[in-house]
Amino acid sequence: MKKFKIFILILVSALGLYGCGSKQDINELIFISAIGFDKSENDGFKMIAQIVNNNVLVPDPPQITPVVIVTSEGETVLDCLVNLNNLLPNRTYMINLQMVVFSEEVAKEGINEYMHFFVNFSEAQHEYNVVITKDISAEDLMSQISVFSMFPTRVLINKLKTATDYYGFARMTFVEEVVNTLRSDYGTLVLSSITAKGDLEKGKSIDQTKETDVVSKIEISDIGVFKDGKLKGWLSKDESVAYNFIHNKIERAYMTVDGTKGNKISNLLRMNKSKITVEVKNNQPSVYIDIKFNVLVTEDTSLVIEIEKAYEEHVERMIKEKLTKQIEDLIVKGKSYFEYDIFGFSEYFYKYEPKWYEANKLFYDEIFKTMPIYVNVIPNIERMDV
Amino acid sequence: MKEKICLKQFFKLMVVYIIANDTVRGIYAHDLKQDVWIPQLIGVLISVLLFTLYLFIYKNTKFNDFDNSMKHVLGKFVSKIIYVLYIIYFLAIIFFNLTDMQEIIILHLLPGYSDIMLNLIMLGAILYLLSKKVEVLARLSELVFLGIIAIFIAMIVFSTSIHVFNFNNVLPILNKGYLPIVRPAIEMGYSVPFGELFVMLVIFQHLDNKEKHTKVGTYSILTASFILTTVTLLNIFIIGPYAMSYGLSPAFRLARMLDIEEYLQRLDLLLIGYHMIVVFVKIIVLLYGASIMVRSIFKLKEKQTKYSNLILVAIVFVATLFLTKRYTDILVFRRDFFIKYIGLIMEVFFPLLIVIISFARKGKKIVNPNDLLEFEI
Repeated sequence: MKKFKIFILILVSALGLYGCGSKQDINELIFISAIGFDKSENDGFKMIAQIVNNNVLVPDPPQITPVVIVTSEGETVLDCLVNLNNLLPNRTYMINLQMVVFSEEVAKEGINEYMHFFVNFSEAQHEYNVVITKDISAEDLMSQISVFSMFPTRVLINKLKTATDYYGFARMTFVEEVVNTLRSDYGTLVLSSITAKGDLEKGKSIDQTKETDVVSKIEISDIGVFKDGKLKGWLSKDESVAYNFIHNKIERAYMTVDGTKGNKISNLLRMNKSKITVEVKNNQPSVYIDIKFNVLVTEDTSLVIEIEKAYEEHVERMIKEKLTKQIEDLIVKGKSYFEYDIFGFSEYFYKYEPKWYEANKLFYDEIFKTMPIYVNVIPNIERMDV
Repeated sequence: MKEKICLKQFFKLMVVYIIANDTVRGIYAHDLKQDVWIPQLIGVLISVLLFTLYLFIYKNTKFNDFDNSMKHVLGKFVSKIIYVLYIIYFLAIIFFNLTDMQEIIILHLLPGYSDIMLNLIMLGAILYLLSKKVEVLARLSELVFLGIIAIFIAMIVFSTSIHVFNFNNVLPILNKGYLPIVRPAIEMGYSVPFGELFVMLVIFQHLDNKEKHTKVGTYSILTASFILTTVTLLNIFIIGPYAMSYGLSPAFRLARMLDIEEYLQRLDLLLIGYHMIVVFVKIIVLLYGASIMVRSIFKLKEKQTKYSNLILVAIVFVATLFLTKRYTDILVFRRDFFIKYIGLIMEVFFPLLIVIISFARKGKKIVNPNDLLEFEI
């Protein structure tokens, strides 16, 4: 009986070996690091995949291109991926997918129908950024070789992170946030954009890494503002900083203000704490924006940062006035140029005044144009770098 | 009862049993979005109430085992009919749990793996564990419980350290009124995720001094619900009301979001592997319940139960062979018919009826049910 039991145990264990039948060697997989979409000339999707060249994944890599670009078309994202696989020797694998890029043209037509695959596809991890391009195609952007790293997508993500965390004019937007905004009937989607300038053709070759002058300059550009999944316009870098201040998304930002003697004073703004409050009184909605942050006075072109109360108050007042003006100008731009709530205040009305929002959501854009929005900026000079 | 389990073991076994329902409980988030935590809390209360109600079957009969208690309340004949219905009900739940796991493993863990092989391996392991009886199952659940707590703590620590919590994602609360949450709250109480607990009465018979420990079920439900509701809230705070409605398991979705410095990623795959063991425990409990009932119906000796167990497992296996072609159909059937009607009858109406009868028979003379006539009620 004991022998029989052991036999059965071995037999059952052997069933597990069935899994080895479909084993996939890591060298036989093709890793996609970024996926982009350009406007297709046909009626469908045009996908660009940035693929990691496995041959460079060795300690002393040869002088070959670290990534390759492959393009395919299809009716859906998965269809594009299937057609992409037809062009490649092995199966694509998306565990290392780090970025999804939409070209400006695609973004203007709408990104809604592209997103479901990325939030639902089980093979990919989920912390990947969604960005758009500005003035260039996704294919051109994704074919640029970086002089800073073997993997251009990693460089793009680092640039985006630096622009977000240190300068405040960009945003890291992950796929879940995009889907939440696209599926809801409130809130506004904004995405950072990336652009490339210079000789883009030369930028596609690894030869550019041998020159001291960077031939193609990739930079984080303006923030794109969407409505119903379609790109409606852009916010400049200053406007983007103001926008991020409103939404409590500033880690650090810099601001230069005028001194009293024609000098310029540079300041580091940090520890931003913003609060948006909405109120409906007598069916009249209003928005209150309170922004608090600390200031580190860093540089004065007059060569001296004065240890005087008057100096401190001057810097504080100038920063308050400048940022308030930037935000108020942005509000005017939202009301008169975009003509809809680019700030996503609708989300706050939906959450804190749901009955009012439910009753007025169809006319909300019209209401927004005349809605009073009060801005209160309170800088606090944390220290002066004397 | 020869086999005894201690209070702590019963507590842990029941927690593991309830946690196993995480696999599909995300289905409620599809409609309820950010309000999903409210019916969950109400469901916990309903579940506690129901389980406390179940225990009156023991309290009112003073018998030590499930079979004799049921026979004392219902008589031999009716209890046999009820047993047959419950056996089918338990096998159906086992089938659903098995197909849930099969779907998740084939989709996420082992793409391309054969369904038949997978079910064969899972049922083989379950049958082996079932042959080891309740004490081994209780010890296994102690280990599994430790793992659950460790994973739960790790999940909270990782989530809080790498994600920003949007607490206002929970707003607006009940924007569409109370009506949409009433049915889900009741269903959550008697079925997925906090219900399907009638079978735990069979395990309860192995508990020492059960008269003194009737609150252990309540503590188990509260502990499991604390874990499940916390995971739900983390989903709402981190993922958001719309993105969290993709997929059926909130825990897997949350684990998938964890990315620690691009070094520790795809923890959902590890979690799925672990969750398989959790589901095994639930299936074994259900199979054990069915096995006890089969034994009573056919008056089997203890040695013969291994054959009856084999037959029960074989029935489930055959069902998986022929009925698992379309998972969506199974899910829709389960949501729109099985939980709505069958679950309500088997977890609420029948137990309620049995408890009411047990009250009516409370004062009656306690006789050995084997001495009762076949048709006596």
